[in-house]
Amino acid sequence: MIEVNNLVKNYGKYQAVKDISFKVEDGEILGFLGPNGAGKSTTMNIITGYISATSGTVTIDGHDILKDPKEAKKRIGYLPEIPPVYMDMTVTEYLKFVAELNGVKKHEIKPMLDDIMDKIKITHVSGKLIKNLSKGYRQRVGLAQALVGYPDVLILDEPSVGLDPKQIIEIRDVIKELGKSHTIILSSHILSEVSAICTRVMIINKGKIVAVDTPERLSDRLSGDRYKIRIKGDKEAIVAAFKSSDLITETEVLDDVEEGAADIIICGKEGTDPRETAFNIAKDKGFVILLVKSEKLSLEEVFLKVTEDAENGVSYEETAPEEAAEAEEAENK
Amino acid sequence: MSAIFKREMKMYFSSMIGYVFIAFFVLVTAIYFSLLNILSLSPQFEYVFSSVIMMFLILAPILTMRLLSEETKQKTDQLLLTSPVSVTGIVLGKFFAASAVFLIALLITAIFPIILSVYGTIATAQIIGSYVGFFLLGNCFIAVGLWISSMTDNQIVSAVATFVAVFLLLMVETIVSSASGNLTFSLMFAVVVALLIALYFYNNTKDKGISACIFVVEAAILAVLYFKKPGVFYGLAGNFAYMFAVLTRYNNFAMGIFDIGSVVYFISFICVFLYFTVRVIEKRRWA
Repeated sequence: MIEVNNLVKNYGKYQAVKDISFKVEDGEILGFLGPNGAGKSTTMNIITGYISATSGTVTIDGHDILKDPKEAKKRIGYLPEIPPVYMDMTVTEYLKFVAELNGVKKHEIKPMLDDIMDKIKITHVSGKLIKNLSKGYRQRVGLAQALVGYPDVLILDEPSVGLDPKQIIEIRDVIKELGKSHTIILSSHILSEVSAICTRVMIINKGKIVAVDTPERLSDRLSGDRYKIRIKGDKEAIVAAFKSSDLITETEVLDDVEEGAADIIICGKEGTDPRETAFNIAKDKGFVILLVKSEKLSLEEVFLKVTEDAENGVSYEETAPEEAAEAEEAENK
Repeated sequence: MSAIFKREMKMYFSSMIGYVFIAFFVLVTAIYFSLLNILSLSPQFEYVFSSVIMMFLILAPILTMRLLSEETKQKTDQLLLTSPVSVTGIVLGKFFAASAVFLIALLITAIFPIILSVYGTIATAQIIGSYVGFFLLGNCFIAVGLWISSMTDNQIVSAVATFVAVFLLLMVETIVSSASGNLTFSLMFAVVVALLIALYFYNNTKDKGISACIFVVEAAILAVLYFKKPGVFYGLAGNFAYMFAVLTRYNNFAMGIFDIGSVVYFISFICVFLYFTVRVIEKRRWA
């Protein structure tokens, strides 16, 4: 379990991390999202003990990274932004060095490295010098390095950078697989990756947490009840009918897809179901509804909305546990 | 620590550096051996070492220039510092590796006094003393080089700075003996030290006002002392600089005097610079 409390990091007068607190439970995969310079890497560097925080604490399974660094660092595998590989070593030599650095017992090293290289699929390059490997393979060696010693916690800073699409999918599967037995924090620019892998997403902007939740709920909460509907009939009459209704707060006209039908996006007033409203309007005016589809914000849009809102002073705190349970219950119904 | 030591040793001998260092050292020693012992028919091997000492100007940078600077540059320090190894362990591992390569080179040169002993009588005590002193002296330069290497991420900067540092250490005695009695020189030295203290303070607090105040106070104290008690300044610079006169200490060994004080001096000199190295790395993490 990772616990981060009131983390602050100042570089001179510039505050890179502003009072961040969060918890990652065992077996969770937490995704860090944020624009460049948001403080993702700084936070990760502090958690792993590479740099020290100005104030605040980090504990890994109850071991403080500053007071008990040896025990805490033993439990962490870290893949930094640039894989920390020695160009003039072969892959095996390098991983062996990392194993010795982590104090792995001599007779355990070989089976451990074989297992890890097999998992990450780098066995066939094990004898090559790292300087002769492509960026994708260096990245994989970096990931393999993080796994040496089988740490409970993995911190991965943009693990899929520099990989080709096929490798990205492979690495994702590897990370998902690892997520079953590890606690993972990963940062990424690629939002689809985060929503595919992570159980929870944390969006950071300018050194502050602006939103924390599961990818689905984050998208739900921000998009509200938005529906795309397709209605047969005269476009102007339809739009006018929806705009004049009190129960519809937002009407957005889309480009026509089907001949003789209008596509619009509607948002309902709180406490009402816009689908019902749409049905009633259609019934009154004699329109025919062809399609009703829930229109959720993609994580990209959520990300943009949240970072923009954060700049305007709106914040999205994590839903309280009871509230979250209620929401889940409602969803199940 | 042992993992780092092993890796560094492997690096010295999988790249050219280790071989170049050993070959260069043995070659230079061999040249002086031929000139000073064989050709001049003298059994006094300690002269060879006294002549080789100047070679530390090149030898120390070769050994230490990439030790820590390369880690910072390649970002591999992220691996080391996030591993369950202490900073002291990292620094010691690197220091012992460089020291071991130096020791290997030194042991190879032992063949020269052995050759001498076959053909005549040699002053064993003096030669062993020379070896011990030379090894300790070399380690002092390695420690200084390691410290310099920790402050930059550029190997060339590290090498040149180490060259200058070793040069100053070798020249300390000469400079001190010719200038220590001079009052103006001592005063200038005191002013420079005062300025350095103020700059150090500024570097740590980034507060111009307070740093300036500190310098003004220091200058005032110096001025008062200069006019009221100029005696304080006599030998001030000399005594300070003498603390770094490693060569003087070495000469004791070369004369066959096994002086415990000098051994302690060398070991503390090494420890101080290794401690500085640890502090530099730690400080970077806190910056």
